[in-house]
Amino acid sequence: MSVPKLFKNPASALGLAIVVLFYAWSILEGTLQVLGYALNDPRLGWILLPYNPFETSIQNTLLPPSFSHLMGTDDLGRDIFSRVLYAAPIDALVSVCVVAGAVLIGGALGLTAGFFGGYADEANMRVTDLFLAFPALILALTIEYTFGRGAFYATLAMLIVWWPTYARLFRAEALRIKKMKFVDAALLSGLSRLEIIAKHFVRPSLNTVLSYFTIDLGNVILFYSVLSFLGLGQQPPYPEWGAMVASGLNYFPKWWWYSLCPGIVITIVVIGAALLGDALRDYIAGET
Amino acid sequence: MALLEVENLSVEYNTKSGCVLALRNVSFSLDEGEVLGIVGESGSGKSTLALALSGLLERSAVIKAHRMTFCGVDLLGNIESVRGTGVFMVFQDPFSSLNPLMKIRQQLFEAIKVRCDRAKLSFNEDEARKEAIELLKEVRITDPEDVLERYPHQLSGGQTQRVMIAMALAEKPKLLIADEPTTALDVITQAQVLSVFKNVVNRRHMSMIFITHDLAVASQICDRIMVLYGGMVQEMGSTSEVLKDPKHPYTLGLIGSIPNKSKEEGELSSIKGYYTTTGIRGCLFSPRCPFVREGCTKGVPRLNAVDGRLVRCINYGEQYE
Repeated sequence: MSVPKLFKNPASALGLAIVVLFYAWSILEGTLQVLGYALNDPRLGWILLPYNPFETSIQNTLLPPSFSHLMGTDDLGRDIFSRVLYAAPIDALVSVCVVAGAVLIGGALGLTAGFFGGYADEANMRVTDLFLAFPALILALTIEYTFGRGAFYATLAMLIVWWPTYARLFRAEALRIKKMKFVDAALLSGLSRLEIIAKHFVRPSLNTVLSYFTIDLGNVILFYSVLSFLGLGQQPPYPEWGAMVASGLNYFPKWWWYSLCPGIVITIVVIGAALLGDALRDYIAGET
Repeated sequence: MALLEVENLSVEYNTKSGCVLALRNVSFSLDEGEVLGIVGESGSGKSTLALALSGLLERSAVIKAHRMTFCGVDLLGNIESVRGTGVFMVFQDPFSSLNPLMKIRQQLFEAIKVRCDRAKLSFNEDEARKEAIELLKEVRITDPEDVLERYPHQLSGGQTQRVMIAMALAEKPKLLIADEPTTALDVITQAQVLSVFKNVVNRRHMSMIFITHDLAVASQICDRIMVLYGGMVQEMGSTSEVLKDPKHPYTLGLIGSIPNKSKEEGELSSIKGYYTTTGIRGCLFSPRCPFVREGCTKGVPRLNAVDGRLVRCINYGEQYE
């Protein structure tokens, strides 16, 4: 199956569109925000948004969705649509950092464990078991309560929760590749074991990991939203999808849009990532 | 001095269901430029021997030997020191012996680069390219330029085995181990690949251990033949003598099972029974041997020297180990 043909499937195309849109917007908006901070002019951060996401207005509290406020306004009169858009980059950054970090750590540990086998494997996998034995959310909560709140600590906590799965995944790949005779041939030719892992294990194992990676971007966004729902994300007044859902719940169901709109946005992004991941998995499975 | 000397090599696999003795006291030596054929059926320990010599045995294997030296280097302790310069292997399955995600060019270059690094020579892409093309021509690949830019899945089995031989040549090893390199190929390709092997070994004056279950194949390329059964050497001698006058009943059986060209020669003979090595007293081949007699179960026969050959059968001297 070729790549263009793959995205003729409407679900796959939708997934691709959502993911590309989300990350493209995040890069644009994130760059403007960073630039704003660097130039000491935070207005740059909302130059593309319909409203200033921090500006409160007593007259406009809890307005329902309309053409002037696409997702309505919150209890302080802030435009929810602007706040949702303003919060996107942090979710994008956190998701990429967590999954990429987990791939690096899990890849290094999993591939070496699988390739060397024996005690290295045993030690590695028991540590992984230890991490997997705790419920992820509780472990992340504990880590954040111990070290501190905010996006940085949330990323750290999720990284600690996330890498073991990848270690497992990469180890399974290493065990598969290890059976191939070209690995023996490389050993015989005198390449060092680390060189062999770098040359012959990394690239083939990425195939399988790629689709998992994509689905996981959505999972991390969901998990991060849960953390921010519990008040462990970026701290107010900085907008945060999970936190918005949480504070909107106080006004549910009469002022339903306050919590529902950010919730729908989270759902769309997560489903988009899942659809794209599925499509990639089909593509890889069809290819091999 | 012999290139490779092996004395009383035993290999044991420790599995959950107990120990399996894959090789028992195998001794032989190999001179430079000599081709030794190792013949036996599945499970006889041929591949274990190849893996033991190349240091690729899995962790569960316990390897014991009085002596195992390669160019005077003890293989038991520091096999790493002869990596690259020493032993290279061509494997049975052509489709997993090359990395499917790398072009042939990349893989050949890598082999050449490893050799250059070891010799502390600088690696030059243009020279490597010339050398790679030369190597492919030497293994009789007709369109080397084209093959260099292909991925392994775009090659046929025979081409892949030739590329593997080229890889081996790029490393310039002293000993080439070929583990059933022609088994997965059809008869015509098999003959072509065999002649490439023969050619390369003659021209480069390389030593080779050629493992096969097919005596007919072995007879075409080997100077000497070692017949393995149950991890023990049953018969060893020069190819022509072993084929002309097989002394061990098992060798006789193997020669009998080579299919003949014409149908008229009657039924295809085979060795009766099935291969097993557990719960046998005395000679391991005795349950299947057509000439079995009382003495066979008394003990494992000793390897007797008969007419410059080694035979493990009490018909040539009733002595036991």
